Amino acid sequence: METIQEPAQRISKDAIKVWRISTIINHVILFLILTILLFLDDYFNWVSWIHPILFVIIAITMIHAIYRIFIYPFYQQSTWRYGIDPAYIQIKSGVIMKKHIIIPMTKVQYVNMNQGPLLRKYKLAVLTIGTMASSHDIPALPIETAIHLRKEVAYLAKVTEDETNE
Amino acid sequence: MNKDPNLHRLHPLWIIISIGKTIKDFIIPIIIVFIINANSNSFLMKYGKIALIIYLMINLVLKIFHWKNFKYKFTGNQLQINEGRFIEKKRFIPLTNIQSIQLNEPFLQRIFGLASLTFSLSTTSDQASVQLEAITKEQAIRIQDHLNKVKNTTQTEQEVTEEAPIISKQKVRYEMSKQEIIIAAFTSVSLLAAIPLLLSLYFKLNQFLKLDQYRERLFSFLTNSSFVLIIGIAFALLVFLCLSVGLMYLRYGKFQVVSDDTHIFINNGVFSKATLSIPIHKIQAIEFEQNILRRLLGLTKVKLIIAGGISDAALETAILFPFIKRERSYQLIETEIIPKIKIKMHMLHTSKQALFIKIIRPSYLWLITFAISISFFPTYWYIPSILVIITIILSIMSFVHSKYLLNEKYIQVHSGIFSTKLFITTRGKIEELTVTESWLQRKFGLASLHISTRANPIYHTKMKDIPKSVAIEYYQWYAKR
Repeated sequence: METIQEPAQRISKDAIKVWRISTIINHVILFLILTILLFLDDYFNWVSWIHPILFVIIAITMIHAIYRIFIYPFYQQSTWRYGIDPAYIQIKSGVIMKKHIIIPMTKVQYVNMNQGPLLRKYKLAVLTIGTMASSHDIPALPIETAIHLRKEVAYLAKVTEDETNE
Repeated sequence: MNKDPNLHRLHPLWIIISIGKTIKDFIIPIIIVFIINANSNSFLMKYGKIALIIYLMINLVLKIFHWKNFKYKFTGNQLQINEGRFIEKKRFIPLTNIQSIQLNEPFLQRIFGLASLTFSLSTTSDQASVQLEAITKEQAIRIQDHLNKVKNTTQTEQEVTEEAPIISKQKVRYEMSKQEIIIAAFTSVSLLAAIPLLLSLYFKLNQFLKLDQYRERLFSFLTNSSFVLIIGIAFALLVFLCLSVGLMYLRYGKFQVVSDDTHIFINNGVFSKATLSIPIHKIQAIEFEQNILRRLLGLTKVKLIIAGGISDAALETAILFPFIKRERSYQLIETEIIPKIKIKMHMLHTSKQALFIKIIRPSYLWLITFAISISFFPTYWYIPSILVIITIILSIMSFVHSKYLLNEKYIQVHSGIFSTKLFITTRGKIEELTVTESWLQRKFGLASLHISTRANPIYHTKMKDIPKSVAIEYYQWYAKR
């Protein structure tokens, strides 16, 4: 069965580590909050149904944490593809839910590059491409690539707009 | 700079009109404080009065400053606006950014020979439109004509070879007939919405006027004989319909569509008048909307989707035809108004797998509700069963109405359950296109397609559960632009 031609570029392998670390940090904070709640519940004898609900929430967070730490980063990184050529930006992502996005250069309104502390540690950056309709992230690009792409997209978007300014 | 003869102010009456608006907005507190509780000495009322007066005074002063500092000017290719009550701000708007022009003559302004101009801009921010409120009508028309001409010349410069730069005569393409107004009034769903409104009005009045006794007397009179009852109901219906026809007349009584080669002008309004002019090449998409009653009568509402905001006057959105026979609307659009477009009646249905997936998808929900209801309330087994049947029927209806078509550079998407929508746009106006494929869809070889077009805010169209090969075809069609 024919499929949509996937764009060729991949994102950095370090994305796996970055995502794992940030998920771990988030979940540790979440667990701390939940434990405090559990403790308060015990101490102040809150309404009876709060106790089982807290346990259910903790169980769900645990399963989610396992998924987000051990499974999701690997698959997300290995299936992420992007492609930028003079006419289009294409992005493909997802395993279970596959998603192909195509944006003509003429419709690009802005390109942003940003880095959090974690990304900076691994010399990575996020490229955000905005259209009139929405914005799309290309996560975890090596910083040189990100800078290069930002320049390229900005240039191409500008040039093509001048041509088709109807 | 201050002596620039091209810098214009709004008409001085603007101050009075806008103060009038503020008073209208505060009408309820004003009535409470000054009329109902005029003689009250309570703390709240006493200080409320003072606060309200101070607020209105400050408002007046601010309005005067605003009027004094608000100036506008049209230069070669941009509109300059100076504003700011105390700090002067200058805004420069390139004329090519203007998506549509709306000329409003609200009843009050019309008496004084004034009008307002609203320009919708191609931004999605809160500054999506600029308004010149209360300028003389001649001035407004002069500006409108000037802007339309500016656009024409810039356009013809690029398309000299294609079209001769002669501006064609404007022609009236469509006028709403009395017959259409009556049909519209009969098929309007908002007619039904009036019933709870009337009831709530009745209960409110009942508190003051003791209507209950009259109601009882009326009821006993009506129920005395079936003949009187029928006459009574018929009379009530008649009054209701007359009211509805009257309201429809006020809304669309003077509705008219005029166009030339480059622009569409929509005129509307009986007391307050409005004209919307849209350059044809700025139309982002066309939408045909039908509620269930109108669909059965073959009537449709046609909307133009344009970028930028439209002010809240007589034309809430760019409605090209409020209610028209479907075939006639196709014919008018294709042959007279937008000759480049081609609309095809016969569209493709989604595949049988789509029906299956549409029925299966909510099944997780059924299973859960089924399990819960059977185990806890076994005697009420029929409630979830009825729900299941309803969702299946809705899925089938949605399946029947989802149709699509690629027609050279146009894309047509038809969807809906009770009321349906047909959406048409061109490849060039699509901002971005996304194909998604969920796990369940993959099992059946299906996918979903999302297209985004500019509007205010953004217009998303979704084609759910189309065959994957079709989704790929559309993706490649878009990539070929």
